[in-house]
Amino acid sequence: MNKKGGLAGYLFAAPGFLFFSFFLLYPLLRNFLFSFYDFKLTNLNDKTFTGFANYLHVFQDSVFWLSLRNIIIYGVISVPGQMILGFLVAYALYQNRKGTTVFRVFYFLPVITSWVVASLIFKFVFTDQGLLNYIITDTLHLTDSTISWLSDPMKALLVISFLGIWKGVGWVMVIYLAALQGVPKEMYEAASLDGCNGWQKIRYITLPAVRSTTLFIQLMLIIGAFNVFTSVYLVTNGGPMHETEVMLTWMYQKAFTEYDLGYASALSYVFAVLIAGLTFIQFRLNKRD
Amino acid sequence: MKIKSYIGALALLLVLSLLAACGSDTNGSNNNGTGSDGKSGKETTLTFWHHYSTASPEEKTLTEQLIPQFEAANPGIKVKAVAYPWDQLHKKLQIGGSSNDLPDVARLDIIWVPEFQKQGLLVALDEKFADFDETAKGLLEGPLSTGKIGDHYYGLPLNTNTKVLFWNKAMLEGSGLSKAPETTEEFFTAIAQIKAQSGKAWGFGEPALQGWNILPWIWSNGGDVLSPAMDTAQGYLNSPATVDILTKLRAAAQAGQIAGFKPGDVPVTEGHAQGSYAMMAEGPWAFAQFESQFPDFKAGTAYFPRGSAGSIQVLGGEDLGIFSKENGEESWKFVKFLTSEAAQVSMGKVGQIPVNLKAMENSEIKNIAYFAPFLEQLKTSKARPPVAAWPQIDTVINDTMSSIFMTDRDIKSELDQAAAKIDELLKQ
Repeated sequence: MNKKGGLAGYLFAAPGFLFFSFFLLYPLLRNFLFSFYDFKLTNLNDKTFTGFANYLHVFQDSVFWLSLRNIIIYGVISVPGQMILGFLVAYALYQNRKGTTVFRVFYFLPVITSWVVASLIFKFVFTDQGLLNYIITDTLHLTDSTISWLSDPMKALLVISFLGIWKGVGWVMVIYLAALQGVPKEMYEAASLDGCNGWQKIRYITLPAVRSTTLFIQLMLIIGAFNVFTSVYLVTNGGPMHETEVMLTWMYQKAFTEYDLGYASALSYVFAVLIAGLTFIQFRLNKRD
Repeated sequence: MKIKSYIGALALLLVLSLLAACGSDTNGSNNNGTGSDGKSGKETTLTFWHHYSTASPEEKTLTEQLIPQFEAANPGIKVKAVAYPWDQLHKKLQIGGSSNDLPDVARLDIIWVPEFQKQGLLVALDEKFADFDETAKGLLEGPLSTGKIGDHYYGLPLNTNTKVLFWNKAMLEGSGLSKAPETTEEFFTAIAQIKAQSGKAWGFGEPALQGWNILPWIWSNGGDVLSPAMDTAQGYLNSPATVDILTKLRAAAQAGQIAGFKPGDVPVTEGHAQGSYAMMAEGPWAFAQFESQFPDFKAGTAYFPRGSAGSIQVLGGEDLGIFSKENGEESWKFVKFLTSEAAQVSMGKVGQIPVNLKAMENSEIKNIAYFAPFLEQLKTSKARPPVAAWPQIDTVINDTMSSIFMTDRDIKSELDQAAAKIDELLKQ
C-alpha cells in the first residue's frame, strides 16, 4: 500500500518536475556554465573558458554599479510610495459604502493596463514638448523654460518611479482590502469608546492587525522593483549615457545588443544572488520582529 | 520570478538556436531532395532580406512591381522578400552567420559590407560571375567602391544617398534671415539669431550623435575619425580641428540652439516641419515623410554649411550582397535585375536615388526636382571608414559624443580616450 502510494505520488509529480527541469533547472545550470565562458551570440561555435573573468568584469563595470544605484533609488521611491498610497486607498474604500466599487475599479485599472501602453503614454506626457510641460508652462505659467524630464537622469528616474507607483497602487489596495476585512469591527468600537481618534485607530489597531500582509506586500514589491524592465526600456532605454540603466536593461543590452552572452550570464547570476540575499535579510528581520 | 523566466528565455533561445543549427542540416538535405524531384519542374526560391519599411512606397514597388517582373522574366525562380527594420536586419545577419541561417541575397547598408566580408559570409562577385565587369561599368563609381574590399567586390550598389541642409523658410525669415547659411560661421550666427528671436524653438535639430550625424561637421572642419590608412584614430579623432568644431557645437547645444538628440526631445523631422527646428540635415526620405504627414510644408534645401575643408556630408546608401552558396547564379540574376535601368527608375520614382548611370539620365528621374540638391551634395560626400569594426567604432563615437554633449567634461580628454578605444578595436 505504502509502496504503491509512493509510486503514484512520483507519477503525479513527474510531469511538473520534468517541465520544471527542462524549462527552468536545465537553463539555469547551462546559464551558470556560460557565465564562465567568453561566449558571443555572433559566434556560437567558439567558446573559450575564461574562469571568473566575466564576474571580475561585472564588478569593474561602472554601468553595473550605476544600474545598482538606480534600482535602489527606484525601490526607495516606488516601494514606500505604492505601500502608503495603496494602504490609504484601501482604508478609504474597505467599507462597503455607496460608490466605493467604482473607485476600487478605477484604482485597479492601471494594474491591468499593459506596461507597454502605460510606458508609452508616460513618455508622451513627459517629453520636452509633452502634456506636462504644456500644462506647467502654457497653462499654469509656473516657469518659462521647458523642463527636460527625460534627459536629466534623476528626473527620468523619478518619472519611472512615479510610473511604478501609478501602476502598482491598485494591486497593493486589493491585497490590503482583503486584509482589512479581517480586522474585527469590535476593536474599533472599543477604541472609540476609549476615546481614540482616527489616526490612533490606524496606528494601534489596523496596522498591527495587517502586519503580515504588509510584510508580504513589501517583499513582493522589492522583488518587483529589482525586476523593473519594460518601463525603463521604453521610456529612457537606459539613457542618457547609461545613467538610467537598471539591472535588466543592462543585461538585455549586453545579451541582445552586444551579444556578449557570457558576460550577460554572469550579470544575471550576480543579480540573482543580490535578490536572494536581500530576500533572506528581509525574512530574518521580520522574524526578529 | 521574472528574472528566472528571463534566464530561462535566454537559455531556451540558446537551446533553440542549437536545434536550429541541427535543423539547417536537414534543410540542406531537403533541398537536395527537391533538387532530384525537380526533374519534373525545377524551381528555386530565393530569399531576399531588406529593410524597406513595411508598406512604404518603396516596399510596395519592390513586392508588387519589381519581383513579379523578375519572376515573369525568369521562369523557375521565385523571390521571397522579407522586410526587417534596419537594426534588426543587421542583428539577423550577424547571428545568422553563426547559426547558418542566411538569405540568398540581402540589401546591406554600405557600412556593414566590410564586417560581413571579414566573417567570410559574402560571395566575391567579381570572382564568381564572369559578367561582373560589364554590369559594374554601368553603375556610379563612388557607390560601386563601397562594395570593394581589398581586390574584390563583395557588394553591388543598389542606391545612394546623402544629407543636405533643410531650412524652414518661415522660421528663418522670422529671424531676419533671407537664405540658409552657407558657411559654418554663418550657421552658428544664424542659430543664435533664431534662438534669440523665438525662445521655444531651436536653430538646428540633430536626431542622434552617431558617426552619421557628427562626421559631416568634423570632416567639413578638416578633422577626421581615422588616418587615411585607417589604422589609427590617434591624431585624427582628437585633432585640434575636431576639438574646435565640437567645442562650438557643444556651446550651441548648451545655449539651447541645437537639440534633438536627448531623450524626450521633439522628434527632428516632425519638429522641422512644425516649427520647432529651423534647420536640420536629412536625407531624401524626409520628403516622403513631409508629403504624407505635412503636405502643406514646403521644404527648402541647401548645401550643408561649408567649413574650412568644404561642405562634406556623409555618404549613405545600400549594396546588394550575395550570401547564397547554392543559388549563386539565380541570386546574381536578381542582383543584376535590381540594378538594371528599369528597376532603378521604378525605385527612383518612390524616392530611392539610383546608381545606374542610364537610370540617372532617364527623363523620369531627371524630372524629380528634389533629387537635384542631393545629387549636387553627393559630389563632395564622403563614406564612413570601410573597416570591419565600424559598428563598434560607431558605438564608441556615440558614447563619446553623448558625454561631450550632455556633460561638461573636457572635450580633448574625452576624444583621447575614444581614440585609444578605437585603436584597440582596429587591432582586433
